[in-house]
Amino acid sequence: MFTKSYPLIERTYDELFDAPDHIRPHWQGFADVLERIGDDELDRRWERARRLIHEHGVTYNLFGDPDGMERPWDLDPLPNLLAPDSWSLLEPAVAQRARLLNAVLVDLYGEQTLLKERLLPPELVFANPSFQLACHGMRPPADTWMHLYAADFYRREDGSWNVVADRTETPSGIGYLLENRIIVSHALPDFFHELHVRRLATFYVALKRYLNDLAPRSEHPNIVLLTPGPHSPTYFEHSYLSRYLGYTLAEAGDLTVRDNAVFLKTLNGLLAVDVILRRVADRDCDPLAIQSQTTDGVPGLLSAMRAGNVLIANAVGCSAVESSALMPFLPSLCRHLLSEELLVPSVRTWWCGDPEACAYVVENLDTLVLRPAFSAGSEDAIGGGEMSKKDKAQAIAQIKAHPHRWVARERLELSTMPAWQGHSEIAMRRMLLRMYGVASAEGYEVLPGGLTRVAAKTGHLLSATGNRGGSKDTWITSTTPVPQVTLLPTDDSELPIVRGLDLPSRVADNLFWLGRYVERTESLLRLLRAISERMSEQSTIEEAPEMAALLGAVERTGVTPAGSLTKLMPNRMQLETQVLAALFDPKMPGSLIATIKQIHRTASLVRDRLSLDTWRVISRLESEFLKPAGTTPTLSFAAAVDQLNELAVTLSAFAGVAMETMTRGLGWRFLDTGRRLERAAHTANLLRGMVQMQDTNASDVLEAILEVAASSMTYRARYRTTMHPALVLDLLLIDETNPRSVAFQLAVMERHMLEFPREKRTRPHEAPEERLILRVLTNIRLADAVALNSLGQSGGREALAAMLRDLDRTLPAISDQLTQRYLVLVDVPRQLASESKGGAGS
Amino acid sequence: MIYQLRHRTEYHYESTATLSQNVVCLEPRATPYQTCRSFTLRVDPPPTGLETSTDYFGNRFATFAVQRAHRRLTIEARSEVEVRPHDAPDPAFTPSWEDIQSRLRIPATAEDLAASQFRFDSAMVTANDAVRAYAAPSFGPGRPALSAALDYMGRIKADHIYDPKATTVHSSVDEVLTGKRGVCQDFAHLLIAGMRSMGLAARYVSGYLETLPPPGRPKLIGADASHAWVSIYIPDWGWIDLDPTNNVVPNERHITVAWGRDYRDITPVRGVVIGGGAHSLSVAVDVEPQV
Repeated sequence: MFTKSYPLIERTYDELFDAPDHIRPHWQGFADVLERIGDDELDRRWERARRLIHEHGVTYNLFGDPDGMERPWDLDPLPNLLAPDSWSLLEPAVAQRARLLNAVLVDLYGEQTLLKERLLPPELVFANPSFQLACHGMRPPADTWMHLYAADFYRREDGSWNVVADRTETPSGIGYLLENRIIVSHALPDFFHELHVRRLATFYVALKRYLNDLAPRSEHPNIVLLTPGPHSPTYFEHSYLSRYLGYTLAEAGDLTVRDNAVFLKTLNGLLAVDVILRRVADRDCDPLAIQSQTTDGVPGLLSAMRAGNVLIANAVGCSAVESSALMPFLPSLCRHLLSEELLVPSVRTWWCGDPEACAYVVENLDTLVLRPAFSAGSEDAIGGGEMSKKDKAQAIAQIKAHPHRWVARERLELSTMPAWQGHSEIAMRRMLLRMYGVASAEGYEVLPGGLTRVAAKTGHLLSATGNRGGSKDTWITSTTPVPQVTLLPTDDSELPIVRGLDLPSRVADNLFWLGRYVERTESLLRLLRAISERMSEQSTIEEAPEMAALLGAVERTGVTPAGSLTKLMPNRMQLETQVLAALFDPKMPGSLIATIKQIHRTASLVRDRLSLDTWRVISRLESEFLKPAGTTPTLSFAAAVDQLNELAVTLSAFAGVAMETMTRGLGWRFLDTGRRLERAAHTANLLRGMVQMQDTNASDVLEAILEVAASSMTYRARYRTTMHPALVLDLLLIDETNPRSVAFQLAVMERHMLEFPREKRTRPHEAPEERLILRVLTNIRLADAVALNSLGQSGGREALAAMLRDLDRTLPAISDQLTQRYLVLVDVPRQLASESKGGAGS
Repeated sequence: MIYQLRHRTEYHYESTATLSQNVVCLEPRATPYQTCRSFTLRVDPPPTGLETSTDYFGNRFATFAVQRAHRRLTIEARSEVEVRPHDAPDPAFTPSWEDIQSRLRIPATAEDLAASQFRFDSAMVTANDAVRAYAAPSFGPGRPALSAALDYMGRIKADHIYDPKATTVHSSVDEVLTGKRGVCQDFAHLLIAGMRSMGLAARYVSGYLETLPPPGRPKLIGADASHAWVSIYIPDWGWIDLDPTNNVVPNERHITVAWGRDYRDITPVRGVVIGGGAHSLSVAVDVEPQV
């Protein structure tokens, strides 16, 4: 594969070839192993790896949103192999730059001697919106502001390295690159072994150790990873990292500040938080101290940090040194603060606030790239050469009006490297290398690897933050075998046993609703399937006298208004339209498809709590269920029945996976309580069809009810073909051995509730929700099926009606009580209004 | 002059609020012309963790939380402040605005450096071409800075109508400039934006103004309001207050509470609440001169 090179570009460094068809010496080992296993074997292995990536992608890309939760970078099997001389240069350079920028932060948020001694112009601080006044005067432990740091490197034509960007706020990528490594090392194990590729785990061990060391309570500190939530484009990574590091994934709503300390809202009440590894931007961290418009932050977080009651990594305020306007000043700052020379220079950068630099930029705009000094990211970068005459004149006017707002840098000719194309083909891609440092007691440790990002296509350049393109695993090789490192404790005494008591209330809330939506979907599915089967088979409604009972049950679920379907029975065409809408119309609230979408939405909010298999089931639900392109309504119904059968199997897979893989902790109990609550309501709803049931069509109606309640088999096994209402009532209402009966659901819920945490429990059935369950369950246990079946004066089954009405009121009340007791903490804070300054004239 | 001040803020919640966290900036700071003799802050329901602190600009802040269920939150600040007559330079003898501009660009003294942070855009005050064009006629070549600023302030007063309904606390300078209406906060922001667009340093001042009842009428309790104005920097002299709402140079009748880059830095009362539903806000201010 490496014997013939792609056409090399002039005045551009190539990472693999030092001359046409000739690879660089440090690639020889890789080429040897590749030659031995053969290109075809690599193709086969990568095909398998791709399936793995796809599965991870399926897991996290829930909404199929092209700009949403996708894995931002495709992975390429060919690694970026960093030569030993590059590594020995870059490793100390990353550590030095991290120390330097941290020292700048210490100064800017403290004495500001750099301003007083005029080593930094005041504009870079005071005109920089990322400099957070609210953080001034803070002293994070060990004077460490940045616990994590990343630098983007660019390789010049001559092979030397430059820093393009500093990532100081919440550097992203250490989750992605870990996933890259896991996938590539699965595909290429022999390469790793023979080339002695350095392992990455030491970096994560160092991160965990240092956060532990600095935690306010270093004995088993409680550490959370704070994410903006599923709407964040890098949520995949947050979820992935939190699992790998063993930290609770928390959103702002999960945390609260009381008495200047941070707490996680759990079902057991408030649990103190010692360390927050954050992925929320500085400006969004604390809506009280830094007034932001988002709800990503925790009010009071800054004063908790200031009081030293919580460690925040990185400390809030770190984005102040991310501006590239700082780059021209780094060499002198390095000499001043560290008494060292800067090991690796930045790309050539001109900050227009300096009159000489400004004159240069105006003069040479064609050869430069212009960007705002104080906005992160390079999306706003404009190449001077590509500007029209008019735009250029405007840009120059802007620069002259507010020179300090502008920065220009030289154009980059990014180095190139191969991307695997399959079938022994390689193509050329531009690349950037991101490397990471983690703070430790001895300075910064550098990740022995990195995130190499490549452009999407051969002719493309790579933007520093753009999400399109690919990524590569980055290898640092060693001449000797590398030791194995793992995040698992090696000493038995270090193993704290945890049984998941710290379930955040938000997670419990979402699991509860996930359980409800899954069961609601199943109930509705069974009901609509029974209707669809009859619609596809019968030419007239009269042939199916149980239709009125079935349609009435659909109406009572609230999918369609009362009377809307039963009224349409004489008008078959309109009825068909309505039933199809209840199945497939996503805009109809409560329709089957809308309920399935609710499963997705709710599940996405707790995706870090669900297993990969659970995910497969959930993503299958929506992809399977599409409106069939039937030409006639009858054909549509026949096709719909097939789909509903498939869906029923998938749903039972969900129940099976949940039953067999979830630990019987509080999360599972809330999920299951949600299911039981819905199923009890569903069965009760079906039984309502019996209240006014006439003898003339009783057996058809009873058969339909048993079918929808999934109890036909049991009934037949017990009673053969005799259809008697009292026997049906016994099986579906009273029989606690029937997993479909109302009593069964209530009994299971009762057991769950006894396990829910209480401040103190003096006797069972103390809480209102427990008493509610006890009451309705006792009523059912005391009830007599024959008495319930007896007709009252009105001609209906009045005793049954009364009992079902009571259930109708009590089941929602149980849900409300549970929410009140355990889930009300989920509320998020809102900004209060402030008075307007209204002072009038004298 | 000695004043008794009372500033009462009350939030009413439609439903029960379970937690509110607040930051208030109500304690009058010391200035060369002003001494705060006493200050008390009363919060009802009784708060937990009431703490006072001094911010980056030397303003006094108090933070607290109400952690119990409540439907109403009352914050009352009372203070006694002595205000002494201000000195002011002769406008005609202040340095030209261009001199100040170039001096602030490369600050030579600690005072210049401290003042220079009020030269730049802040959250609510963004200088742009429109503001600059509006301010420019007052800043002729070589004009003494204070004369220029006074002229600019007079034009703001003449061109704008005081109208509490026209803007909100979040209104931008551009909205005020196009709408030609606003309240003291808006006029202060507009004055600051113009000064900054000329490369000068200007800060936002919050406080109170003693108002006089119409002749022959008694003064009404709670009729006063909190007020806002501007302070501009003249090197080697210091800061001089300008009140664009009234087109005056403040003196003994202006009582300073705090200063910052704009309203956002020193909002008198702000906070977040959990629960509570919709809420309403009422504010009453009394400025009583001691006779």
